[in-house]
Amino acid sequence: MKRKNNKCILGGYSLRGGAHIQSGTGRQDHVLFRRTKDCCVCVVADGLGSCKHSRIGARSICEAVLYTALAFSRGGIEGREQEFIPALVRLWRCMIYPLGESECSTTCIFAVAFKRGKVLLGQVGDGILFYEYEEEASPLCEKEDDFLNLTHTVCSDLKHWTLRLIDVGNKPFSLYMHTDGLDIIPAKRRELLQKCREIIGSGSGASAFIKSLLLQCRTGDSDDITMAFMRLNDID
Amino acid sequence: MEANNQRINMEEYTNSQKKQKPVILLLDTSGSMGGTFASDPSSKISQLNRGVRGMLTDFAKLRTLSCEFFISIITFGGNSARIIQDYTPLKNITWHDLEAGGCTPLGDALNKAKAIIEDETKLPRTNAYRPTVILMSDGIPTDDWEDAMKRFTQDGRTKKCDRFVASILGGMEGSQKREAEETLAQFVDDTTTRMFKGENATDICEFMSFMSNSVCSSSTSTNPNKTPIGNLQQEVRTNSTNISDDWGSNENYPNELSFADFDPKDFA
Repeated sequence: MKRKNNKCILGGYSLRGGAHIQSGTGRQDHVLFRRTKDCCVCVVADGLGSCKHSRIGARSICEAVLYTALAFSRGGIEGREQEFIPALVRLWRCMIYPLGESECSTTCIFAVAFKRGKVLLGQVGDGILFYEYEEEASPLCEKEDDFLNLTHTVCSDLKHWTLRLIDVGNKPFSLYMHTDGLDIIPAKRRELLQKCREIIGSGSGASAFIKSLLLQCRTGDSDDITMAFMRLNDID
Repeated sequence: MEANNQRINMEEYTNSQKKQKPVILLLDTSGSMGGTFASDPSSKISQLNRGVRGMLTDFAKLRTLSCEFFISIITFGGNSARIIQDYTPLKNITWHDLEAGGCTPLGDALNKAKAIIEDETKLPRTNAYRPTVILMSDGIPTDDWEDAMKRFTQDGRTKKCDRFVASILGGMEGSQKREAEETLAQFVDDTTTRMFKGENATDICEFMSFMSNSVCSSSTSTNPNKTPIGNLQQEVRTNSTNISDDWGSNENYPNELSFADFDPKDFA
């Protein structure tokens, strides 16, 4: 489904992995994208396969980002961005209660576009948020763990979060984010974003388009694959 | 949507390489491994050969796998450790039976294993799951092993590996046995879930068969980083017998085994 106004296009999709289909287990990833009158929110989360209620954890963190963004949009994000993650994690803990954090472990990647051109990007754990703004095209952060899937989660110390506030004003800004079920070649990330922008900007349904990309990547033994897209300010 | 599918071919943008499940074997091939026990006429080295062959065969049999086994085998006997199989996909391995002889240079083996695991060109952090490292020994190291052990277990990427140890100390007694046990126990974080104490040569095969089964289980799960084991001593005793029977005796196998053309269908 496409969400479009004069300033923002959002879309996303979460595909159950081939390995989960074979084993009869449910999807543990989650995606949320929502445009409200005060902000646009895009989140992907990858519930840890080893945790009993990671699916609840993943869904809850996506919803918690939305509610936290709504709360912060009332007073403006500027100067308060460092308070965002502590508030988010506290809310997530309340939302998963009475389940414990360790039962609901999940990664989280989000983007919130506030009024007055402020975009807040955040990430903890695996996956990639790749954005392009003016001449800059880069991932929010690169993996620092020693091995695959040895990852930080929402439950980890707050210092493991990466947070960036960008003042994009009225300039074009676009990004995609995905969980680690997808492994995009680093040298091809920018090209893929440009292609997505081109196609989604031409009026096709953003989420259906993302689903079509993900379906190409699903194999019989793949993990869940989740991707979301956001485009600001240069909408036709 | 058909038009969109044609405009982006995700094969061009994604890395289709299978993820690596590294398994590193550190195997004692010192002279004492050639010995036998009164209660068990087979030599430890012959049971070790049988165990490793069986483990590699079990790995090759796995059909549904979200990752590919990458193996490295390091032996420590003679005067220094030898990388008899550098880190490589299982399909590239040709196994030759090991022979026992010489000292027990464990420190050298740990250093060589650490060099492999720390090398990100071999084990990329975005493509390799947590390695399972299995150490098997029947005696006290003869080289300068303390620093190597400390570095392996406390520093860098090797610290985060899933480490297991089997001590086969049936021929030892008293303080000597205690010293060997304490030395090998330093390799693991938790001796209950990560250390197996065997007595006979056949215990080696039982241990290897159990580890093979556990690694296979974890590799087909959604989280290949985790090898789910409770009390290792009890679980080896309870769960390995049937599996090791599948592997046959040494006489039934050639002493060279190639996995290049291995077809899991042959074992269906």
